[in-house]
Amino acid sequence: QQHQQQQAPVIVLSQEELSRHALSIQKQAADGLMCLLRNIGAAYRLLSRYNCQGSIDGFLSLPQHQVETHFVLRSIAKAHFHANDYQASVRYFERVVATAPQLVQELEFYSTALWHLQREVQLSALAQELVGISRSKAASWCAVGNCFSLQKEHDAAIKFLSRAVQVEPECPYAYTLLGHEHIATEEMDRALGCYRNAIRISPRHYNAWYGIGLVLYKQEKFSHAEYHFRKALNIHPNSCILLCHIAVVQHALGKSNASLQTLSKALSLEPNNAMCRYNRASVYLDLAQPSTAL
Amino acid sequence: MSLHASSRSGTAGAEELDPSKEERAGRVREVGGQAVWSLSSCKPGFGVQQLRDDCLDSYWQSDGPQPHLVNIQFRRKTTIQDVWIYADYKADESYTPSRISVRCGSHFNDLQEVEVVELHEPTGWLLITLKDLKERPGINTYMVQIAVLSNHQNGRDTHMRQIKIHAPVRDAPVSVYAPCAFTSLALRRDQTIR
Repeated sequence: QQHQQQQAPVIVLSQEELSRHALSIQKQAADGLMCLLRNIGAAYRLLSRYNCQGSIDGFLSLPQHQVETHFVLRSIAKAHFHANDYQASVRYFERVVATAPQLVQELEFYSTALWHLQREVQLSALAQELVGISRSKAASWCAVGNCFSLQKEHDAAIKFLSRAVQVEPECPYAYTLLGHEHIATEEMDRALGCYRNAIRISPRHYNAWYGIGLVLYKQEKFSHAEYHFRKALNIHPNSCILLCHIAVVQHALGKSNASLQTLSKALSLEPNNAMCRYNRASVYLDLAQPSTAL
Repeated sequence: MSLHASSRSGTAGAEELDPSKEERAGRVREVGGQAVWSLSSCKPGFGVQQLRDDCLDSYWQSDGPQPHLVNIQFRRKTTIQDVWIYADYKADESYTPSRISVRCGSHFNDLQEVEVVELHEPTGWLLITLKDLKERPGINTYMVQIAVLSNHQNGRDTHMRQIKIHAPVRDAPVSVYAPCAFTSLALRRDQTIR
């Protein structure tokens, strides 16, 4: 071998060294992959527990080329959505669509974020695009349903959301949106049926628990409503809106002190939440303490 | 009498009344679909379907003695705020109703007259706002009956092109005091989870 080395300035390794080298490269690659998967998994786990800020930090700490993938961008957008930060959610969803225009997975959340921000033109454009891409996915029909709901045409929205449910019977979110539309047309029994379907498919779907609570609140069954709002809160513990609703129901049941405590907790999570402050002021007003209300 | 007629001849600048505009504004909902409709009489092919088909070219033609009745019965007590009737003198002439009475109650033998309106050559949508005894808009009732008491030029039968029934939308947010729906984006965003 030394003879060979004198002749050609090429480093020749033995078979054994080669295979050892290859194995170590493979191991490094596998380790790197495992590490990556572990990080993604941890962030996704935080998202499933609705620890939105934690999961966003987790996802953003991944290497940049991983962040630019469809899955990660989608997850970050969903995290912002569940944290009620619809502006940020919409920004990330726009990047999601730019990455892979032919995929419609989970874009129903995009349409709902646009519904919250009341961007009619963008929502209608999205709905048309999605239906053009795929008529057999619930997400497209959910977007169309949201579009009509924003225009206050609830009967049409119900039609399209029923279609969404037909094409994908295992999508809980379509049932939840259908339930919301039934509430808008004051068909409480059908709304309850839809929400229960959603929970049957996915027991951790906090929107559906919230929906049932809302129906019960409208029917003035306050203690039952509180139970369901609490179930939703168990699943999504950092939701300011849920805390707000629980506080309102507690006040309606006469537990004003508990109500104020819940509102303080909500405001500690989100100090600038206008709805919480309005409710706190209303509670003080009701307790005949107008000075504290101001 | 609370009656508004659109495009009265000679009224320049009269706002075009349109029930769908009100529906789109989100303050009212069309609830005719939740009710059972029946007529005192009709010519074959000119019945309830033509009265409720959203088409202003098809109409209901009655075929019996006056008064001609449209009965609208709801499954549960519903608050009715507006009754919209489309009548067109230019198209229907002696078939156009000239005196319409709106009655409300629990069933056929329990109806009380709530509004009587006189029409003079209407061409378009008529809005009849129902008010309860205390002059608040909206009557909570099981049944609404629209009676055509007489027609223009003393015609026997009547044409009615379209009828819509509006109920107020109760969209109060979940909060301790909810005087009305919030309008600012920040409050509306935090009003509900969807």
